[in-house]
Amino acid sequence: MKRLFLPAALLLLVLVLACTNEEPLPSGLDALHRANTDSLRVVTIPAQEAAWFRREVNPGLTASLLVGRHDNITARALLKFTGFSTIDTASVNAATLTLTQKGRWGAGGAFTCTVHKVTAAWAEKSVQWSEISGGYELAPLASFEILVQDSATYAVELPPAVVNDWIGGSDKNGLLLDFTGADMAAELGSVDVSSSGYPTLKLAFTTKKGEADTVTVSPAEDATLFTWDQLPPVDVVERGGERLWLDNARGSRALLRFDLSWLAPVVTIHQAYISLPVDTTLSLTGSAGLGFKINALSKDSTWLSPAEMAVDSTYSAATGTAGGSEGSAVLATTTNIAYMSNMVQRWVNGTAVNYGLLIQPTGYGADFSRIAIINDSGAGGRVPTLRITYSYPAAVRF
Amino acid sequence: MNTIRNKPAMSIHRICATLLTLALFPALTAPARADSYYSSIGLGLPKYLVSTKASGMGGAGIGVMDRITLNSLNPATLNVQGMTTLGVNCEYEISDNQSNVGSAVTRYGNAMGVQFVVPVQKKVTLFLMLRPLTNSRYTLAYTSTDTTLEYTRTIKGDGGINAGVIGLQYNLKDRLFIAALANFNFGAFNEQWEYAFVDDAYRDATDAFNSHLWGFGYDLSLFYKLNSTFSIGGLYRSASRLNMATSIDLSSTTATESDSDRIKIDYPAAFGAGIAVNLKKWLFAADYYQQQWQEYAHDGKRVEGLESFQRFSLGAEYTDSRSRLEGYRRRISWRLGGYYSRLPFTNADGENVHETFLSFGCGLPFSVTAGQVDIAFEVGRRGDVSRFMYEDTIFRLSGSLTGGERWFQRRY
Repeated sequence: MKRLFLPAALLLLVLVLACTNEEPLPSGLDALHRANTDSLRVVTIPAQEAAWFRREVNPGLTASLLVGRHDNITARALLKFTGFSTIDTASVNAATLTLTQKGRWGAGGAFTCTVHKVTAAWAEKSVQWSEISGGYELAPLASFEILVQDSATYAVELPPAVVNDWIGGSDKNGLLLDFTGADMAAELGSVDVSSSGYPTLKLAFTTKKGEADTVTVSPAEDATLFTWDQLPPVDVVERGGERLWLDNARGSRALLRFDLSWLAPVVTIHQAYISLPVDTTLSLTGSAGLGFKINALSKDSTWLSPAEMAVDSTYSAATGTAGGSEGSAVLATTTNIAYMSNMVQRWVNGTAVNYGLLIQPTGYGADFSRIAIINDSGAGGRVPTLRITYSYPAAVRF
Repeated sequence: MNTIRNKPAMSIHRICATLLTLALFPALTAPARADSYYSSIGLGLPKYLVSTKASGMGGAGIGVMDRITLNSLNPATLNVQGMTTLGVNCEYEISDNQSNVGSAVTRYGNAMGVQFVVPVQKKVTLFLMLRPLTNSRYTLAYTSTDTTLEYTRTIKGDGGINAGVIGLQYNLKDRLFIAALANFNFGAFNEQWEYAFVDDAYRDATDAFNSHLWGFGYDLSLFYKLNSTFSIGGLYRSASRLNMATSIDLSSTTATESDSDRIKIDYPAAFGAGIAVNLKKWLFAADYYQQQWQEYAHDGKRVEGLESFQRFSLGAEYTDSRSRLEGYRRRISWRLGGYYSRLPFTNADGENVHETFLSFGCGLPFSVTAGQVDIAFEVGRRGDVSRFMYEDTIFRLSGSLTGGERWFQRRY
């Protein structure tokens, strides 16, 4: 008998493993004796609440320096060079500042940019024009013409005495790029970008041994200084307006909240697709558009105090790019749409509380881009919407 | 009465049988049928297993006593003649599932139960069995035709109820045998609902439901040999109140949710009767079996749309010679039969889904009289696509291996 059991067991094993297939039957799912066997549901809901506010802009660590005037904003730039003590020199004979223009804002003409010696101390992470306006020498060290071009390189000869003073240890507060009149702004490369195109200072000097030599140094810090003709106060939430602002130069950001309380906690969110209608007549972006990110707020359901608001940094923010000439801003990549969907899923199932969304640009201070989001709930108006594709779980068999 | 051990034969074969049984146990608790839409209803398709020999005779065997056949439905017919006997069964099924919108061919193979019989006294036989009671297996899919949102929703379901049985058969009088069985009914049903999107911008999702059931019941059965030609058998299987706990894992949540509220499910009672006519070379058998699926209930509430399960079986066996001295071909048994069953499931008009099968089989003895391989082939149809959701055309191959050894030697 035992000799037969082994083949029988092997035969059984073959039957179980090799002879079984799994092919769906062609119909009948909708006729199953279960609740919620129906198909997906798709609904588009408007924003329940919308607002915007602005915070201070500190453009010291952005990838560009702005000089000029555009959109009722004046922009000046600061450059600071340090580290001269390592140069073995008796005297700098020539100093050439090189600046690279990588874009322009506005359709105005060329203008003269003046270079001034800064006497006030500053730090790029926090510097504002108010700290510098009385802390530089009015007489320019040099000047050059900002051209009406999208790319250009400027070589500006500086008085060697300025650099010799820095080497000597006095007034090492850098340079201010200013102008007297402009109706456009140049976007220059910043040292805070790893690629080429950042400012440099080339020095020709005589060593202590009497030999001629050269060295090129890059700024230790640089920053853009904005002054605005008009500016709303910071941290004041503006509600009820028909436009919500995302503005790189003004520090504007938007708040949205969608009512999801009608969705049962067991619902699966397959996709939450946010759509922000854009007013192209009021929006302004470069060819790269305005980058933005969407975070869930982790507290302050009243939106009364932006200083108290905090974003939920546990999860990745959904990011996107809005073009000023396009009719709406959406999250283009599947990854970011998934981040948004996950965020809504957490709200629905109660993992997180729905305090709303904070939409903020990712390039504060980097340029003059701004997006006006339409929030016109009147007849024929458009508002931010969330298109939710969801499903209910089927009922248990028993 | 004393017994002595026949050690050389016992030790090796007992280990072999035990290991095989343990190895087969996981498979035995799994469903063994190809897909059927009907198995998604209630506790699934009722299983009707007498023996593989009976399967070759249309399933008729309630009133048949045979030396080497281990009757799972009516153990009162056991006749192991002092031999400790082990039987294992397996099944392979191909089903062509046809609906109004298309068809799909599914196939599945698995074990179908095990029986272990030990004679403990002259008139008393102990038996242990694992037998399927219901089974459920199906995969249903819906594909969206909307080109802007292409997705497929799929449900995969499987499971079933099995019974672990311990019982005694007693030879009450010369021609009357009775058996009593205690059943531990247990099983699991799993359903997995899936959404799969073509566009990666949508999140796929899977919801899983797992239900576990357990409960107790009993069987009573008898066999009476009217004379050398006629015999009858009958059985009653009690209803069983099954406890059920379900765990739910939804894609909408990160954690598994367990439903701690257990509900009761009433597995219905059943009864059956059979008659057999033994001639010199021919055996004829006929059975009737009924299970009261209209009594099936969740927490005391009956489930609408279910009616009783009824089955009529008829079959015959031809064996040219039962003498161990004859040539092998003459000792092979050839079987033929058929059955009609009315399944518990009904359509909107209240009509029951039905099955009609023809069967063929053979019994191949080995080891003189101590063992046999039984093979059965069944072909039939379940449902009618003009009146029901599906029409399943089924090809089923069953096999069993039964072997006996004398583990105990009586000393009188």
